[in-house]
Amino acid sequence: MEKLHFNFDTTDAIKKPVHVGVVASGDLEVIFRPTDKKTEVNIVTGSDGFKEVWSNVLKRFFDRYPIQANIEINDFGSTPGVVNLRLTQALEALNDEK
Amino acid sequence: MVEINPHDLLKIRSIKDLTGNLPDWALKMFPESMTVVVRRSPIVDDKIPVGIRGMKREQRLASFVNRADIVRVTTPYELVQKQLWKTARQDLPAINALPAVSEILKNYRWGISGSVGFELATATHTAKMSSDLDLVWQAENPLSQNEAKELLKRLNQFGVHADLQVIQGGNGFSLEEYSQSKSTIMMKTLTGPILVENPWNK
Repeated sequence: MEKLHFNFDTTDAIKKPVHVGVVASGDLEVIFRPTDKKTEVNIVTGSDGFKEVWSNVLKRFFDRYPIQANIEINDFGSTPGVVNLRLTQALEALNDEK
Repeated sequence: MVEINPHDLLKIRSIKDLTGNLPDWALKMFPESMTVVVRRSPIVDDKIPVGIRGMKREQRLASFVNRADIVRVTTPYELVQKQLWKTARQDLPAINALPAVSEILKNYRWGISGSVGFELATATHTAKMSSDLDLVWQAENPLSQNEAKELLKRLNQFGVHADLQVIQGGNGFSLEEYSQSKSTIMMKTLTGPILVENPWNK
């Protein structure tokens, strides 16, 4: 198990929390919470040694969608494709509820 | 020629039939079972996408085997028909739950995947005390969200977390996610995951 921490300089503050994904093999749980601090991503993952991959996936995401949020991710061996999909889904959930 | 689907367990002749270089854990673990799991990915030129399992969750490795090198195909559904849990390690919560689970699902076309399915098929010690019970179900009819919640509640009363993946051809989605969904859910397809609003619409 590995704990990863990332910070991003983003400015579009989210207004309400969202929770997507499930606790299951090959999947992950993503929680976005509003924050007035810097954007922070905390990841707990069962698959060690993928810091670089996470960093790239997150950087691409925040380049496109510069939301400001406190993000918690619990990963159970998901692929980057599933991670991207869950982040997109969380974003859609935010927009749905605006 | 038998059909090959995601979650099927393939026994092969030799470790040399797997493509790519194998890490130490795979070289050590694989000969015990000689069995790989079919991944949800397209089959091109009779090359079957497979995964090698290790003891730990992060020990998974993607590889391919040629259809011609397969000795035996075991489906998750066969494990249920043969009631293989009867001769398995009863001290594991996930295996201990199976007689009761099979009673609840007796009218369903269901199978056992994940580490428990692998253990039952290969008679190796792959599941752990903490293993979830991953099940697959070829649904004939859609369930409402309430019916899904009710079914999952019944399946989860035996001290182990059980989820049912609903199988539609090459696609699959989590019944748990569907039961809790307020908008979209993830559908795993042969060409990658997608978000869908109604997973029962094929």
